[in-house]
Amino acid sequence: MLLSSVRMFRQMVREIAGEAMMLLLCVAPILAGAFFKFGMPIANSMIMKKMGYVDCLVPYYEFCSWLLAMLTGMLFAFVGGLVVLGEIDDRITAYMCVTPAGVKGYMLSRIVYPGIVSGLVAMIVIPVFSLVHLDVVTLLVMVLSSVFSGMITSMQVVSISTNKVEGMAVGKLAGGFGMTFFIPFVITGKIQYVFAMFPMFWVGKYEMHKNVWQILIAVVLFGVWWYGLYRKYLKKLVEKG
Amino acid sequence: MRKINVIKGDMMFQWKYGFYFLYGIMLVIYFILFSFVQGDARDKLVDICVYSDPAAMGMFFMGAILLLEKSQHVISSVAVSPMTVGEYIFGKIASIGIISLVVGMVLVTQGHTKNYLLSAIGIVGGSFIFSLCGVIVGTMISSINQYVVATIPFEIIGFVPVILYRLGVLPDSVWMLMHPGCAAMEMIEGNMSVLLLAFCSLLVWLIVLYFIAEKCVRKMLCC
Repeated sequence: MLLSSVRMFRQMVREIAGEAMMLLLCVAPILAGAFFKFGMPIANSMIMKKMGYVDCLVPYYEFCSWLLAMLTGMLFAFVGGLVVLGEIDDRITAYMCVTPAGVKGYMLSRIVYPGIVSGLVAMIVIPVFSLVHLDVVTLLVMVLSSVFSGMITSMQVVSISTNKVEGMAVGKLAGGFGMTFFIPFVITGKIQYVFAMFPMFWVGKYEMHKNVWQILIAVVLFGVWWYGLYRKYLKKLVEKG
Repeated sequence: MRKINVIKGDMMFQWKYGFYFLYGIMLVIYFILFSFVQGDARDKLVDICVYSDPAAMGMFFMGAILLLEKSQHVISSVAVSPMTVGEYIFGKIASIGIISLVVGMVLVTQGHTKNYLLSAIGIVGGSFIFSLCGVIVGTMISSINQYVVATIPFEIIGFVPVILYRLGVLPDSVWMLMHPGCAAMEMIEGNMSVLLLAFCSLLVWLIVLYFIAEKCVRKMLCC
């Protein structure tokens, strides 16, 4: 099954390489990283000169690394999701699932492997473009949470939508899944717990308090979301054939 | 009558695929976002959000809409129906323009516009521009990945100068109104002082893009 899923993944890579998507995937994290690395200090000094606020952007420098991690995770995972959407519209998903790779192999090739690649890319681009020093634990949390977040976003697109148009709509909304990371920083008080069902919310809490229990809650929630969406996808496959 | 039916059909399609639901939720997200910013920064943020999301939604969704129609062979039916190419394009851009207008106007109330009517015209104008760009690109592609890649130059040209213009990084010159996005932005702000120029710029761009879109759709229907 693993070998077949790797073959499926290679086939997808060949497909997107022919559509210039590969170039975008390679260039976008570097461009975004360069933008943060060089643009933020420039913006900081411009604000200081024009408005007189001293180093007002400096406290947010670590957020740039988080944004970069999320962008990388989302980008790779979303491409896999878009490929699945195309295959749903072309009615070849059901056929893919009866190949030796099976449903699990198909999901591995379209969602998990792109997630792993995004993790590897994030491991390289984040330290290179980070504006602050990141310790190994923070880097690992950053990379793993953004990879899981990207994979679940992609899974949402795949399991909820029935065609490309719905997929684009769901994808737009699902983009907010990762953004719940910032909720603990911007919403104070108990109202913030409205977002407690989102794992990235707890990753944000962890980033604030460095409490290991919060990261454990996030891990459990990632698992619950994945399991729920995977079940939904299986159900959809059975219903649609 | 047929034009209205085409728009109604497209609107039902968009309702079915959750556009209205999506933008209902997006409004809530925007309201939360706006609540953290006050004063001049809030006005700028509102204008930029109105321009870059509801007004630009046509570009985001048009490729998927056209691809789905291709895969469901709707395009073949359109080709043999009495519907003209103009009506087909108008149906697409008008139906999306209606959602853009409703969502955009709700968002505009969160900022400070000098003239609501002008803002409405700016939102619809911007929406038509982006939707026509979406139609042009959408007719030439065969997969959603291709569409995402192909719209990137349009997005960079469409968004970056306009956002920089609104933030005051680019000069506040009338020459900037040659860019349809800057013209739409001035109207969204409700700026009466450059109304004529902004309106003319938008109109010229709409006419040019419409003719290109018509040519592209005609080609797509023939193939």
